[in-house]
Amino acid sequence: MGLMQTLALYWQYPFVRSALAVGVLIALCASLLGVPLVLRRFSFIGDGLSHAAFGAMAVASVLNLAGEMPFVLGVTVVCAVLLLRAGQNASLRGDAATAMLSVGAMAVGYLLMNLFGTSANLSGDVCATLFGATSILTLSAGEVWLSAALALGITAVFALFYHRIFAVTFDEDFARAAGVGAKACNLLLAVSAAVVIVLAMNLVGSLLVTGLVVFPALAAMRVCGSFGGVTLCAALFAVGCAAAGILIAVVAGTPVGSTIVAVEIAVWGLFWLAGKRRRA
Amino acid sequence: MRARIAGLLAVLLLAGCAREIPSTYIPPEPTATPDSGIDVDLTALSSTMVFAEVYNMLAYPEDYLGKTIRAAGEFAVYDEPEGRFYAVVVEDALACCAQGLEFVPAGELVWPEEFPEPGQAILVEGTFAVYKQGNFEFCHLVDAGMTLTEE
Repeated sequence: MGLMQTLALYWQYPFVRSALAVGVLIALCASLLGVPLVLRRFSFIGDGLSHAAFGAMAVASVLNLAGEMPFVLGVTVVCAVLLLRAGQNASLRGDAATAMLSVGAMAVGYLLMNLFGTSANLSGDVCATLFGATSILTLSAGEVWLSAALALGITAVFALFYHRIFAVTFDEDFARAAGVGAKACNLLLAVSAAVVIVLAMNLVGSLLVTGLVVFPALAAMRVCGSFGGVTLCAALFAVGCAAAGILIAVVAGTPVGSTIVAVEIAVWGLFWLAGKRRRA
Repeated sequence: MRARIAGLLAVLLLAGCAREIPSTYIPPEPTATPDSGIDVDLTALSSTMVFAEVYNMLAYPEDYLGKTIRAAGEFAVYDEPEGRFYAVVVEDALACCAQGLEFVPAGELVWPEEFPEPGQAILVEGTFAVYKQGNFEFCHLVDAGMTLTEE
């Protein structure tokens, strides 16, 4: 069977179509958020939050909570706000707080799943949560709509507060002095990051979430010079790589999350070369 | 809930593989062809697609009732107080999340002489159905034909 025939066959499956739509939307909002996070050197906040989300998922699983996503979302948002505050706390640096939260949540989450877990396939559950496996292809209709709505909401928030995010990203003190509302903007970014992380865990798993946040921004920075250009380029990069990664994964039978990140690494390499030639 | 039961089934199946069972199984000639009326041919899908489709079968069985399914994977058997169960175990792309499709062989096969050994690669074709056991609902393929795909 040829490639086009295979794609046509797989396109008939509703879960492939919804995975592509939700995956592209998640990648889009992760890339938008990635630009201010990378520029402010908060690249690893995604990693810390995704590990916190893993811990929350473990607790939800142990408590047998039906519909884990709202609970995980709530816990991750609280962690994002706490991390943001820790970053402003002189006694505990932001990176140290992220490291503590990251390791602590993973360890406690896995411990709880082992001690009190009800699932008979623990290794499979953990593997799927960490690496995504095929989670994006097994979303329920409710999860598809919730993911799509949240992703569109984050994109809308970014578009609405674009100028404030720009101001806070480049000079927080000036933004505060200018009455931009830096604190509220930081809170908005933290909450958005938490939402994106929880959504992206379905796409690539908690260990690979950071890839969706940093690669589009880093690639766009190689070839674009303005905040607007980087944002637009990162969005296009993320959408293209997510779509290509999902299609390659279903055709080649590879894990969806790692395939998307592998595509992003390869395309980032091309952008790196293009940036090098541009500067030469 | 059903997904969790499916996971439980998968592990029970894998646990069943540990016992070595002598076999003098003689594989029958394959009877199905691509245009032989198979509704869901899992052998035509990539491993990622197979995992997602099997997950959907176990999570939303009502969408697959009465459909003929063709699946390839490892033969597994497990003994429970309720009886002996057979399954074809399909692994996913990460090879960590094996899923089992239980099946009821067509005809009156004699155990263990007319069955493959656990772990052997088989092709199964059967009609998708659900049954209740206690408070739980399980899925299986009934009237299933079984073909050994490797010696």
